[in-house]
Amino acid sequence: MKVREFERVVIKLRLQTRNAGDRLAWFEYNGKLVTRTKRSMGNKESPEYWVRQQLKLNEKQMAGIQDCTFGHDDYVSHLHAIGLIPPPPPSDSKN
Amino acid sequence: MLATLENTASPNPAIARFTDDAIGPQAATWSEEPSAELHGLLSSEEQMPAILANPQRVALGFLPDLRLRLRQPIVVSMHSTEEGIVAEVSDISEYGIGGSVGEAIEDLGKTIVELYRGLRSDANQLSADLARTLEWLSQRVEETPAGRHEGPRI
Repeated sequence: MKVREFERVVIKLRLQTRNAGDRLAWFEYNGKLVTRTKRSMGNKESPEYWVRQQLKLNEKQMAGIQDCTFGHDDYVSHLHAIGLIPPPPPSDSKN
Repeated sequence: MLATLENTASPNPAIARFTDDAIGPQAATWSEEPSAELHGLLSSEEQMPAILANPQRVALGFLPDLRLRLRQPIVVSMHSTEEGIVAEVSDISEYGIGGSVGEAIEDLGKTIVELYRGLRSDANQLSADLARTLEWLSQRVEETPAGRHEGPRI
């Protein structure tokens, strides 16, 4: 996984980032840290399999991030679906 | 620590070989001769005598931060990928990567330190999944008095 591909994940999923010894990235939702990943500083490639594992993404979803068919809202829905974050409260419907 | 094994005559206590049927410190054995499979993965400057009889799994015994120590070794799976050598701790989906086994394990050690400290500082803001990761780490990592380094309890 090239640096630009990793950074595209950061942008599309709106990950928070911090540069420590590595470049750390994490997903926050409602004030909670939900997932996290990293890449080495510099131009080193990251192992996509493990980045996906950490972000709880499958290959298709990762490819969707790269071709802009899978974004932040899709990621939130996905995390809801796998139980990592609680579903949003039902909106009140007034009749 | 881990990677600075140049001129190390004795087996590196930070890394042990575990047999598949008896994982644990009591099963650690040492191999002085690198296997042919991993010989090519080691840089010429590194000497890693202990890990190579079973190259797919090693044990992390020390962390690259003298203020932290491991209560018990962490079993690490080694993988060869296009991006380099990956040292994985599957229980917490964490990994280190490098051009050699030593570099990957060293990177993993730094990653574990960063992850442990980061999750502890945000302990009240973790999802259930990351809270479990912190719990897993806390069972294995503990603080030591600054500057005093002790080995894992075996």
